Amino acid sequence: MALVEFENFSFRYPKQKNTLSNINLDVSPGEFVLLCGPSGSGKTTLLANIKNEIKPVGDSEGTIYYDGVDIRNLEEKRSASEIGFLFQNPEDQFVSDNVLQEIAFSLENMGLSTGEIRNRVAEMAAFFGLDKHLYRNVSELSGGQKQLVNLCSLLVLKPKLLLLDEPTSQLDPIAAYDFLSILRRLNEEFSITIMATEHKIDNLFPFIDKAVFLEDGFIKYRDEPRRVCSEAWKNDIFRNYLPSVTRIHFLLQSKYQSPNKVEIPLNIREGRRYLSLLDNQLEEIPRAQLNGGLKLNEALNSQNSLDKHSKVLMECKDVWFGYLKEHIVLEGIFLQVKQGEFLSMLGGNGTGKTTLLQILSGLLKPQKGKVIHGKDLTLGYVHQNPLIHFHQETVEEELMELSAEFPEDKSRSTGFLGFLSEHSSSKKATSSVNRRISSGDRSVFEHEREELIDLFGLSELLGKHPYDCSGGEQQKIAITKALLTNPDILFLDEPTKGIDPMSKLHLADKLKKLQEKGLTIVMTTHDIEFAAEYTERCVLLFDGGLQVDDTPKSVFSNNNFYTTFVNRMVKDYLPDCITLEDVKEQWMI
Amino acid sequence: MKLTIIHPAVYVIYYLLLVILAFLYNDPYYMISFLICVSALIMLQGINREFKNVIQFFIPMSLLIIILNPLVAQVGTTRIYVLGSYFITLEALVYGILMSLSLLIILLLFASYNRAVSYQEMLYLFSKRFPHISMIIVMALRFIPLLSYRLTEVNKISRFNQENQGNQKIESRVDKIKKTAQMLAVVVSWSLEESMLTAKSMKARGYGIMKRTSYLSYKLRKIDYLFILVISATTLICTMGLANGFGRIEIYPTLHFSVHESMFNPYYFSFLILLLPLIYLEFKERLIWH
Repeated sequence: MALVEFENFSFRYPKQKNTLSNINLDVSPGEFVLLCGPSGSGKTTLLANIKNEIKPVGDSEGTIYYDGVDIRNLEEKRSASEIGFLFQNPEDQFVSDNVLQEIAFSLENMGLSTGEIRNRVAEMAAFFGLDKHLYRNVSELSGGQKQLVNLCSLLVLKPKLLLLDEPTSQLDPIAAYDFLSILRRLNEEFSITIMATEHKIDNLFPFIDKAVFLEDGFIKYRDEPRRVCSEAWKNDIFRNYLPSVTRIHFLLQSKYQSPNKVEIPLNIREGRRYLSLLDNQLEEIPRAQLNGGLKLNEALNSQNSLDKHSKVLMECKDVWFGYLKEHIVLEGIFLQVKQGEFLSMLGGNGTGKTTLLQILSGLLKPQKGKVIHGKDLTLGYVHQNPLIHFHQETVEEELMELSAEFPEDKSRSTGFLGFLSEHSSSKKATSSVNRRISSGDRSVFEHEREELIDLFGLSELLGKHPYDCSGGEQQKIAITKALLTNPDILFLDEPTKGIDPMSKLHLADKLKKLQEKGLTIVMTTHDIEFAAEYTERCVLLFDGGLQVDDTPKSVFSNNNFYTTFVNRMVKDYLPDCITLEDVKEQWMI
Repeated sequence: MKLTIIHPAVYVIYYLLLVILAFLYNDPYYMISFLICVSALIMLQGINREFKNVIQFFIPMSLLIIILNPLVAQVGTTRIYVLGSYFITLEALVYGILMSLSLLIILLLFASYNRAVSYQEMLYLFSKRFPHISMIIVMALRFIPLLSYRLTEVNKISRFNQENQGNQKIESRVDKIKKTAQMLAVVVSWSLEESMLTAKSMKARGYGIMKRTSYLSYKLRKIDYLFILVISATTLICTMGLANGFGRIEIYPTLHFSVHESMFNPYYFSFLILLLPLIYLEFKERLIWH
């Protein structure tokens, strides 16, 4: 019998069209179900509807059954303890400031006796290896540990069903991998039913039982992963959601004859086995393509030499920084940022990526060393959390803020009522903008803004409150806002965090376009695939220093673990290929 | 390292008693033995940094009291002429010194208390009776560092914007205030937005559906009963002594104090015994763990 059962379920937020329509879905006990789809397709709404306590406000039709009971009639205590919900951001879920109290919080809510609470905490903390950290402050933990503490705090209640809303989107790849392997253990060894949404599915796909693809609130595909793959491949949008291994398989299949009855590979092991089946055919291609390959390399080399000649916009010399004397984050960093390049900074949580970015952009002053850049250089910066950039009522006002305001507007802002909506920085911005675009050129500026709004596809959002937009949209708005100042260098702090594959593609596309127009972009990211595909230079931070500084190709092809899935799969055949594009080119598919 | 030996409630009672006694006593002998014992306790608890902080705060404070009191209060009969006909009184001087001494003792007691009873133990005591208040305190403790982090980030961004949009220096104070208000508005809306998530996560984990219990639990053990017995007996004797004037000297209008007066009476000894148990316990732990 199904543990969770959706029966013709539809859901609608007030005054909007259906977010979920006609959902019919069965989840059996012990199943691992993955929900994917573009943001706004209703994944989170679907999950939240299973959990009474946080069910979104709106109208619903149809019923959800949990263990045979209509979920709306489920007892409070049962709902709280048997269904666990893990949110996206590890930080926001914490209630208290130390680990022990956080784990015990849910048990304390259940009114359990002290002895029972201690037993359960002891067991769970030992299972997760958190026993050493029990008395630590949550702010001292790494992102992965934080999410573990959150998970632990759910598991002490002995849940039967775990609902995970993009649990690893804020973690670095290694931490994400660890977290997912714990999920897998929970699912396999304790038969906990798991329903998760996730964008980066390469690691997750091999061990799920069922994949559900949502599109505009409808279930598009719902099947066992291999079968979903072959269906989703036919769809232009959803093929981007599939794991890289599977995508390579389909690409190869279209060109080369593979032996019959090959299972669709989902993980690297299966992928490599598949490649070995095609061994003979693949062996021939590179030889045939050798010349082409060489040309490619030459082209790359010449590009590199070109880069050497281009102008250095910014340079940091022997930069040291530490928040505490005992813990120095950056130890003597030398880095040059050249005109027109797209630079990505990678590294685990807490290696100082964000700190270095803030030092480069002048938000932080290094304790030792210098950051040198030209005087009339304008910088743009987008924070990890785009919310920080917003203070107006609508997106349009947000973007208008920098536009040329004229005296009649100014008088309004001096009134007391204008105090909160209007503010000084816009006025000050005005003066500079006025300087740069003397009054006659106002329309040029307007035009530029329209162009940017078009480029980022924001026109539909203009009337919305920035807080109501999705994560990806907020990111785009913040970037647009930063671009309106006409910066020479744009600094982005993890722009792809929590963004779905399609939006990521769009964002990359836009950044590339801007780069072609001469914009220099410096970005920190956890997303190896993104860095490999779109940036020209990768910097890897480790232990306070710049460990590697090279093209993504040479950075990743040297690594065994910290590299893209594509590279891991085709390493034996094409050690230099790190992206799907490279593979396509080399194998002519 | 803190080695909790006795029940937090007992600690609280004990420190409370000591603070009250520090107010009541003003006999120099009592005060000095009090000071010595509390200092010894602090040394044993190993809180040199806090000790330094207390002293740093205390010295200017006590100087102020000692100087100001005689200048302001000219009550008392024993006059000391300072400048011509201007005089201060011995009584006021002595009173100032004793008052600052008792202030020092109280400050030290608080420092020692902070060390002895962690805030979680305090919360445990609270949560029995006021579960919601203790929850609010826990959340506030989490919120304060978050708030300060957010404030610094917003501050950075706003400075950044100012520099990179090529603005001139801030013109007027009104503008400055406006700017600050706006920054605060951003911080507040950001915090509210994220607090929504915290609230959701609390609800999802069943907050409020049942009476809360606590992970921490302390049982009263034999040593706690013994401790309570000792301190209540000695406190009783001390109060009796206080009622009879032992431990208090008369300062105003005329100072009555003789150095040779014998201190060897049962009241003084019981006061000493009241001061010792915690020192004894800490000392014992020191010997075990050194």
